[in-house]
Amino acid sequence: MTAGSGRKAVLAGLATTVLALAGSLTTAGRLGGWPLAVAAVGVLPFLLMAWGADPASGHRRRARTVVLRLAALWVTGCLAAVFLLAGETAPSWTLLGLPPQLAVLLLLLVVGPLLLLGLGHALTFEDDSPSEPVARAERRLGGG
Amino acid sequence: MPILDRPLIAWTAVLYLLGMVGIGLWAARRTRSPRDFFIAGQSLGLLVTGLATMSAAFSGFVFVGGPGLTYRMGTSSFLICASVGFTPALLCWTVGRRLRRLAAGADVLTLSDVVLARWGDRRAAGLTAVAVLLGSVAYLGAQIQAVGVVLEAVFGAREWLGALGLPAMMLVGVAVVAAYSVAGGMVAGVYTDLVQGLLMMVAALGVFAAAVGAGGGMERIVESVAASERFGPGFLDPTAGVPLWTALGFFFVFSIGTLGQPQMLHKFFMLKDPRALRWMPLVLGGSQTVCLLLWVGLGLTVPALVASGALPPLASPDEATPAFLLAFAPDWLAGLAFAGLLAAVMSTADSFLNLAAAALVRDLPRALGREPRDEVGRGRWAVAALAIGAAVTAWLYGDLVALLGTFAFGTLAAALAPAMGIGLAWDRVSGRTIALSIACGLGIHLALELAGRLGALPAQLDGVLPSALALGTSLLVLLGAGWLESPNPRGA
Repeated sequence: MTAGSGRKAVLAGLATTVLALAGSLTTAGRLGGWPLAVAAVGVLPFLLMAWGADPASGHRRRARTVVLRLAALWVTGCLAAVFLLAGETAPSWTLLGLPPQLAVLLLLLVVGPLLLLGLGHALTFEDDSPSEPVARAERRLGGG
Repeated sequence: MPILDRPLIAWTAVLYLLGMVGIGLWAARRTRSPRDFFIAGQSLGLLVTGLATMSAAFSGFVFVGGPGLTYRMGTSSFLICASVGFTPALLCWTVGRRLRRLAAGADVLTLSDVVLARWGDRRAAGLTAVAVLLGSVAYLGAQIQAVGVVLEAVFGAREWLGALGLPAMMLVGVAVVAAYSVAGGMVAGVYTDLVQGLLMMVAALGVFAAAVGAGGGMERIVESVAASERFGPGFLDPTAGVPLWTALGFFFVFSIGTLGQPQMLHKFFMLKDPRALRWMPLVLGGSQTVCLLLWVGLGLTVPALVASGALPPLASPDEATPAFLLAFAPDWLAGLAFAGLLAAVMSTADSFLNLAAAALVRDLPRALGREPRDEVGRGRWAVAALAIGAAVTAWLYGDLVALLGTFAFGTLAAALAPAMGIGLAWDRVSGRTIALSIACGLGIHLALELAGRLGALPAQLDGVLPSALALGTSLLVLLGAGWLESPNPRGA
């Protein structure tokens, strides 16, 4: 994963954070400024994924970048939405019979990234060479 | 008493237990080397590995402890499973291929071996073994407690043994898991895991449908819970049942912390062809999502049934799953579901027995500079001894299945996730840094848990998950120490 794609994942997280903060100002939720913490925790696994992904080449790397950006945006946004929708002012509509914050948590947070990342991984998979630290350990072992 | 009134349920459970022992005996004939005993001869395909990973990861913690935790603290508990949509990709993307490649070398069978191979540091390898051993024994304790709860309900043991019903059923469960794990090692472990994984998915789908039906549909379930005095609308708000730091802590530990779970990481060693990693996130994530339906279904329905008076209040939250099955499911579904519950528990228990045995007979001696001998023979003795030790631990700890499970998950997450998730990929990380990070994660988590048990935690830490604080610290220690070091071109 390139430094550029890592920066894009960070930007995606920051953009979501701004949206979440804007949302918190207009929603009388009980969390005030907490969406910043929510968004930061939400985007953390994706930053790690973007940074730690095994190297791939050409358009597949770009495809991974797109998948990661979408997933980071998706999960952070959903997690922020769960917290923003919480509290006494939560809307009264339901989705599949569930209150909105619960429906967001269960459906979007689980099903969306599963499809994005599961399919994204399969479509961009390449049995490429290992990262350099692991390759050195392999050479020392005489394996791989 | 269910065994007399509803024999189909009890006989399904008996057949299931005998089937697992049968697979163990079959696998024993295929187990000849340490490579067979500890990593199933590195011969597994996508479906076996994917489902074995799911069934090792999802345990009594999800099937018994999960609905119990929701009954106790509301839908905040769902934040524990909120990361399941992306953790399979996180695992395969960041550590799966690296671990599989290292396991292609001659002498890598465990995470401790990975640390030795990558950094050549015996202190770090020894600390890895200690973390795996501690986490495994706690996890085993949770599974043994869960198997006791399920078997006690199936055979009505409390009615004819009183207070001894639970420990007696725990012993029965331990005996079966130990029997097939001792005989067949990881070969038995993964093939029982495959059968168990399929059983878990079928059971989860069936129980979810039955639960929504028994509650009169999702809308009515939600209305009953919201209108009740016992639960109220706060029960349905994922952020209301626990302090915000706890909710965020759940998400943090159960997403990043997945990278430190040896019962999942160990499965990557067993892949015959690393190209199987291509579809692994979908197989793993899809099967996990199906199984979570049981947690979500029962987590919402059982409180609704209690609120409406259709089910009496539970004596212990862990009884949520068995109480629903015995009261509302038809016999064929209850039998299938109880077999599914036993499958969930035992598939995780066998993985941890194997991991803990490897830590004892292989990793710790190697960390002390000794070459391990007769690993298969000693491994079998270690499995038997660990099963007994974990049963005693579970009985003495006497906590909810889910709480014992979160302690175990947290121990492994805090100690190992930074090392595996970042250390393996970063040139600047040395063996000394890995040892420091593992020691911090392990030490802080154990100290905070102990202080919590003694009621000595400072008020400022109210609502903070010990595992989240420990994982955050070990992560920062690794990043900080790595930043200060220069890149190590030898990777050692």
